[in-house]
Amino acid sequence: MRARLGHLALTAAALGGFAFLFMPIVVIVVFSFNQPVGRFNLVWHSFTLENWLHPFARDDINATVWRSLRVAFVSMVAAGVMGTLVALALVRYRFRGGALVNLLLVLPLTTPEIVMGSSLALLFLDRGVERSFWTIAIAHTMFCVSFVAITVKARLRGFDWTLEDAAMDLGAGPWRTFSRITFPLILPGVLAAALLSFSLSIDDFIITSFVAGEGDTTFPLYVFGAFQRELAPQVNVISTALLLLSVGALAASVLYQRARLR
Amino acid sequence: MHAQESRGIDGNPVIQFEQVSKAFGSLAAVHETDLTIAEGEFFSLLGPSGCGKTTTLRMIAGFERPTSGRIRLDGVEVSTVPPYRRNVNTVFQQYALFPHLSVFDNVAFGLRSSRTPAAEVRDRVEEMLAVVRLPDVSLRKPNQLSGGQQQRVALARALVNRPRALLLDEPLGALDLKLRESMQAELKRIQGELGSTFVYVTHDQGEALTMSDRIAVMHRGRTEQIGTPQDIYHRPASAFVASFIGNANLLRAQVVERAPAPQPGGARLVVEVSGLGRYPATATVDPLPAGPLLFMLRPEAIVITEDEPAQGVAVAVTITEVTFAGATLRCAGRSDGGATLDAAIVPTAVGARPQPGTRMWMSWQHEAARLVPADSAPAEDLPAGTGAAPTRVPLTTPTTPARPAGERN
Repeated sequence: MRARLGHLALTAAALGGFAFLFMPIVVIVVFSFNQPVGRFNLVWHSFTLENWLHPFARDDINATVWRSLRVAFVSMVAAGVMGTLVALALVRYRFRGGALVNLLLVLPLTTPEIVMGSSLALLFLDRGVERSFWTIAIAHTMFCVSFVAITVKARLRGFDWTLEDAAMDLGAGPWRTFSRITFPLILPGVLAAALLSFSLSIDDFIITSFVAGEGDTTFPLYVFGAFQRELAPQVNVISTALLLLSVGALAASVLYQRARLR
Repeated sequence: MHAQESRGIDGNPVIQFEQVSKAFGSLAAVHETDLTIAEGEFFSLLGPSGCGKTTTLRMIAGFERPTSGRIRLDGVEVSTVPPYRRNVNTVFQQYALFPHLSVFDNVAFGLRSSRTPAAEVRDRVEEMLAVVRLPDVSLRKPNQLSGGQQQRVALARALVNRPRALLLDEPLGALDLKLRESMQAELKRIQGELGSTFVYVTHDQGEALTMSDRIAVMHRGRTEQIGTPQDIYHRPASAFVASFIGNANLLRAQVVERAPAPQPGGARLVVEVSGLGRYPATATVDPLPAGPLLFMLRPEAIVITEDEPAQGVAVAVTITEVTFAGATLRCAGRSDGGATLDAAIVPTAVGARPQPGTRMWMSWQHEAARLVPADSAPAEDLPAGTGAAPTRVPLTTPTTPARPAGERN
């Protein structure tokens, strides 16, 4: 009896914990089906699929979403390439300053975003760089490189480098060795890192707010700004869609790696 | 150094080392090595771990560049040629099969690197998979194969390129004993079928003895001896070779009498063996180096009898230990002078069965006794200024007056 009570209490606590974690997300998802009265989608009125049928009804929102996706794509590719190369260099070769590079990689992860954002803004201002789409992309690439390098490095730790010897032994030059052997084998790690940097970029608010140009509002910047004037249900719809996208990508990468292991 | 080409080499030289050294920082992995490996030969590099055998193989493959000296492949110097431009292929210790490629694609990798037409790739891959007796697994991934099958794929992947030499780096180390023995036979069969040159790295002396045409015994970066398995077993050039290949009784000895003229198969000597007395022995190297010498007798060359035998040379011993070792019985005996001799005898129904504590005679044919130089000191162990070459005393110059041989105690 006692054990049973304890078990129930544990279950309740666990459910409570999950509720605490996921309640905000649930609210966002549920309110994407609301028919709001007035400009604020805050009070439940009635169920509708209207918002989901017209997710792109608001051109001003669409523009910000499109911009966010472009920034995320550019910084994902740039950080993916650079971060992978950094990880390969750090794991494959011993060189002077390797330990320092390792330390510098962790720095952007531990530095408060407010510090990074303000210092980047100051740097651009000081150098006379016009803030624009590209300053956002540069800033995002900067912090994403660290995440990619660290993720790929973890993947490379168990890599069997004699496979590269074997490829060269079989007549493959350095490029063929990399493209046919090394890269396909580290690809899952690189893809996971790229997805991570995509989602980090698409939801970044603090750094972006410092480096975005006048007309270059990203989706998070838009949501924050609009919050004071209105809250369109399309925000909920698009947020839910982004959520599904990242959960889907995560599931896909897990399934893909399981299939490879088989 | 006792490295020498003790047998003539048939066929064209495929791999030649000329005074090749390799150092990693201050650590000398391979020291001034000369080697010639002939076409069609099964050549083993044998030695304990850290002796430089794998480094030697990696220099042939092109993964390491020699610090000094020259490596030739078919007479062309390749010391600085990268591995992907050398016509040799390697079977790696852990096989290093590409896990994301099928067996077929693994084997085809080298042919595709050299832009072989697709139809020829298919034919040659299938032909090679048949040679290694793995015809039905070409669509599988390496991790769906057993260890022995992976071994065969690694072999096919290397051999399909028709290399001038196949380099094998302890390829059987990961297999269990039974599989290992059958793979040894397989390797010999495949080598015979294709007539390829095999360079085989191993620390297993039994494996080297059964498979090789010639063996280079390596120790601390030097080749101690190069020769046929029989040469190396019966005429070890150093105490290290004698004790690393098989078992050996090694006792300190001094030359008391030298033969007046060279004898076939080495100079016949009479030596004073510490704790044993004066016995005839045959020197394994000529001339003998000036350093300390050891009297060597293989345990299986010793016969144990209750009475003093009429033939051969013998010593009276007290049996101290008898150990059952399957096919043989290992008996240790102590001579009156305090020397211990180990014998491995095949117990028969009629032969003497030694018991610990009993007095017995250990005898051997005098040809079985050898005189070998004690370990050649590596250069770094020699006192400064002595240089690499120790002074040599030619055996054929008698320095002591002749005395009748065959004294016994």
